[in-house]
Amino acid sequence: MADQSVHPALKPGDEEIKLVINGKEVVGKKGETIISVAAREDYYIPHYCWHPALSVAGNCRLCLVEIHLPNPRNDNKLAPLPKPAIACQTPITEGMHVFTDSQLAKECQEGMMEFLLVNHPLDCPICDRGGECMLQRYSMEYGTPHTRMRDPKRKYLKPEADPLIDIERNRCIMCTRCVRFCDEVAGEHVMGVFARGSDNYIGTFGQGPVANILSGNVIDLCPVGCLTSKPFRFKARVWELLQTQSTSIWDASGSKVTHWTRNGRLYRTTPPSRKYHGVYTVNEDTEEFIDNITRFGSDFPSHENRWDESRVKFGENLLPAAFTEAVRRVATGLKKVADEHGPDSLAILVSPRSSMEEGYLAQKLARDVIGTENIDWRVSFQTAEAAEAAAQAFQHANGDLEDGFDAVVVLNGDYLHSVPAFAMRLKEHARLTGKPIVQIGHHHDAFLAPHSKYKFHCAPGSTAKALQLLSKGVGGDTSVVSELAKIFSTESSRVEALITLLKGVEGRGLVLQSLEDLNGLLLPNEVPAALAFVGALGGGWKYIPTLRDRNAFGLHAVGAQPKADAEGKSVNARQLADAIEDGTIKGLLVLGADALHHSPDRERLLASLGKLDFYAVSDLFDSDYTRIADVYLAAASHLEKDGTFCDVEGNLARLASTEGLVGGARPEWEMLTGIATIMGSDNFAYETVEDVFKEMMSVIAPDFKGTFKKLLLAGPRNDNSIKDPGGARTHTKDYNPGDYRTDGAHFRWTGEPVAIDDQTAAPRSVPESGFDGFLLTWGEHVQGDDYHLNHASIVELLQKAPYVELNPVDAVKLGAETGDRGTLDINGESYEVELKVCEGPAPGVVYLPAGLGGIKLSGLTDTQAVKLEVVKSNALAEAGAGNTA
Amino acid sequence: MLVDFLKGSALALKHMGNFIIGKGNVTLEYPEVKREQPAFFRGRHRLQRYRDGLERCVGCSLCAAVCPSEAIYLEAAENTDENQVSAGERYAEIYQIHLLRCIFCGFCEEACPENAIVMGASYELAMNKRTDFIAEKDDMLDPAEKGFGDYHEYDPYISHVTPESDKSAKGDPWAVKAEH
Ligand code: SF4
Ligand code: SF4
Ligand code: SF4
Ligand code: SF4
Ligand code: FES
Repeated sequence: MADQSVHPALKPGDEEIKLVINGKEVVGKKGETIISVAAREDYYIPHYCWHPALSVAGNCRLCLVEIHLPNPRNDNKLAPLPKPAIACQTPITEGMHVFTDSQLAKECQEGMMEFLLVNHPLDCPICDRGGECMLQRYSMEYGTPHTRMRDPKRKYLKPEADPLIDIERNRCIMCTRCVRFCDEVAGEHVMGVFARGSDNYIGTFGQGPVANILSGNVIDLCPVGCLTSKPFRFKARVWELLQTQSTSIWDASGSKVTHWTRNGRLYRTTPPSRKYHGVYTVNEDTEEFIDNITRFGSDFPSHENRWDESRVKFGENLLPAAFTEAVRRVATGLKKVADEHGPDSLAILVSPRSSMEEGYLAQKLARDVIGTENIDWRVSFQTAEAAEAAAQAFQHANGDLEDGFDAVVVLNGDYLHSVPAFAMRLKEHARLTGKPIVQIGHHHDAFLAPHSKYKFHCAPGSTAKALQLLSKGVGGDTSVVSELAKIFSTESSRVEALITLLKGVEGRGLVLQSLEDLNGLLLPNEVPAALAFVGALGGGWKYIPTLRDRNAFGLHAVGAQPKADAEGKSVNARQLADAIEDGTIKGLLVLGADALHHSPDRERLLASLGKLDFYAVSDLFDSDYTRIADVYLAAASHLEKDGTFCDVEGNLARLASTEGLVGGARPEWEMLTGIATIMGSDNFAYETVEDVFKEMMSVIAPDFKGTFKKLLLAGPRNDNSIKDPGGARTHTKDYNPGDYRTDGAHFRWTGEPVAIDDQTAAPRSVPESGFDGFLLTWGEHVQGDDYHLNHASIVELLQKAPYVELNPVDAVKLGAETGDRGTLDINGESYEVELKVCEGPAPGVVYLPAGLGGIKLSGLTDTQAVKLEVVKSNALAEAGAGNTA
Repeated sequence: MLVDFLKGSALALKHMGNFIIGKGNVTLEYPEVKREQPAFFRGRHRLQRYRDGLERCVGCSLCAAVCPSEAIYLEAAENTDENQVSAGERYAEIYQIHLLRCIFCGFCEEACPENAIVMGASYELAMNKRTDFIAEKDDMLDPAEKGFGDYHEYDPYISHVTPESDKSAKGDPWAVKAEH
């Protein structure tokens, strides 16, 4: 009992069990299985179906071990169990003796390997799993070198099910990892085991695709070459690729990734590889899962439209120029505008995918050298007020999922399609611990819905009011219950139960708010309401705002937006088009043209750029945004530069260069350093990006103890022990969730909660009931139109067809079901969409993921009534006009 | 002493005689006549085909992995119905051996699971340009046509079975339906 602290798996209060593994006395907690205790103690037990992130299936039988138990009827003398038992499912018991490498265990492993190989094609030379295959490795370590199989092997034809995942059933060992991942983690029952006995095979229902945003993870989960990546198919062998540990630039959840490159080309992106048996691989028990956009969409820098030379305008033409010349032109151009029209006629726009160092230098350039507050990254919001509210939200962010929670309140939003890995981790926590999720608002996350204890729908615009009343309710005011019941259209008893639940949370609670919802339209009301709600709930409650933009939080932390007291007096990203039109802004520097592309009114912004006296842009591609520039600065992509990103939970992650710079492209920090220096500043003497990082951290996080290098996960390129001989797998030591915490630089706010007045909480005007149609809500979808994604090599496969979410109540009224098609009329324009019936939107509301299929919602300034007409899929099929697949 | 002198002269005369009648000659009239090499000779590489013309190499990269001097570079691609290059699903789209780096150790031949790359008999490795030392796939597949010496025919002893010709393939219900 006393030495519990030495066992990381044991917490105070856990029941301790002593057992003996291979002669060594070890301790585990009650309920643990032999395999997890053994893994912790560095005894490797071979396994296929067991996976730390999935439920136990116990069907591969490779983990058989020999067990001796004390026999109470014979003086507690050790007696062997009559049969070997599987380590992945057998719970530990007091006094148990486990032998993982006894004669019996070895015979079992050998026998099971022989069974698994009976029908295995062993076509390793043409198998993409070759080199990182668990079957190959186990054959060497636990199998026999010869086969006794003389009969023809079972063979299957190959299905064409998924555009991204190649299914080669002959190689399947029926571990069902993929099936369990889809059911449990991805939350969709799409894969299954078909047929029986030795004829069984893996497949998808109705030969459909594994269409969800996390589907790519089954590729890494499959221990053999049955499920492999189609885009990576036959492109290279894994041992030829250079692994670089880095981070996703797509997912603001902060997913870590490994970029696998060769000759300067990105071949695949996977969750971070970990060291097993002295080798870095991603195929063993990867517990990190990434979204498909990160996995398949990261190769955009090698697009044919890449401009990797800087260009400057000569007359009408944009001609290639040396980097130094381009930088000089930018500096003189900006200086000229500032001299003629004053510093406030200049603005700097930073892409929300820029690194923190770049954001830091950009704001330093704007404030210290130019002398203006016109710097911003918040391009994706619908209004300027929304952007300000977002800044307020980030200012008060203080939660982290890693801490766990006892209850979580999720406000409006489609979290799975804006911060996929974060939503997945949240759902996994709720699923595995049974802690309640409460969803409140006009749009719930359908992915979280099956695990949400309470779901309260309200009309669009009433979320703020509901939160204000709830704040009063948890403060003890019982008079709000009936009003809340009215807002939520539910019985008072459910509201009372909710208030009791919220009040009863003694430990940690989380409030989640998506800043993506309606592109932030309602944020000016909802952010203060949510912050006041967190305050009313008490000390244990924390707040996390989420936004799709990868480095939104990092750029906020370095101050790449106008200071709070300058908001309104300066030009922020959403006022830019107006300011250019009326001549307030004469010169513009854009770092990353995706900043322009992601603006809801990008056509207007693009048209206004012509009015500028001076427009410089740094970017990767030949595009509408770069062709009209006075100076184009060729930027290094996320594969070519180093930098730091911050995720929605406030943790830092390092972006790392894979194989260095390409052509004349340079990282933005070099450009900014050059521009500032030529403009006359001597405060920009940085040799490397690490210097920038050090200065930045000394300003924004003086307590930071780590280093730039240590922010990077260990990988084959920075791990000096890689040549060590294999030996036992060190599962718990290699997988260290602590990697994800950057202590000392965990950007979380510690201050007083915010108060909210009745005016802010007043419901927004919404069309009166009785109107004809639905209220439209929307939010950006990661698979939608995206400047960078549009340049990825398999963009067509990654973009999703437009769909709308519809409440089951409305679906019954319309007689519609999931898979039907419909036409949606917005502002007189009609769009063809697919219908998805789910718990997401409130009754009377439809939710349209923006950006899918080129649907633009730029003109919308409020929720509006839209018409939805349903075309039944069978009607379409009869007319021969539709494809319902 | 005279006896020794005569003995020596006799030997010289014997060799002169042999030379004139052409017996026991070791010098060849190279380049018109080329030296026969033993079967284990490790000369210029050669890529094998099956009898039906399909390439043996499936682009598995094992030869490149084992090569101690990193002389082999290859990129694989997938066979299609229209373009069936090798007998497997995969073939080598680019296959190069840098003969200046190669140390003719024969490891590639040993590693190859398909008996595709073999060490040939040609020892003529002089070129005019450095770039010519990079042997391309075609140079090794059809060396005679490319003018890289003559080789004894390599008899392919493994017949191959394509998934289509293998009648033991079990269809799954949907796949069968999709075919009709
Ligand atoms: S799954 Fe593994 S053992 Fe099977 S063919 Fe592929 S690499 Fe070889
Ligand atoms: S496809 Fe792969 S993961 Fe799925 S059951 Fe087969 S071997 Fe396991
Ligand atoms: S003979 Fe040896 S050095 Fe030459 S290509 Fe083959 S493996 Fe490489
Ligand atoms: S020559 Fe042999 S080892 Fe080399 S890629 Fe081709 S099949 Fe593989
Ligand atoms: S790992 Fe235990 S049965 Fe598969």
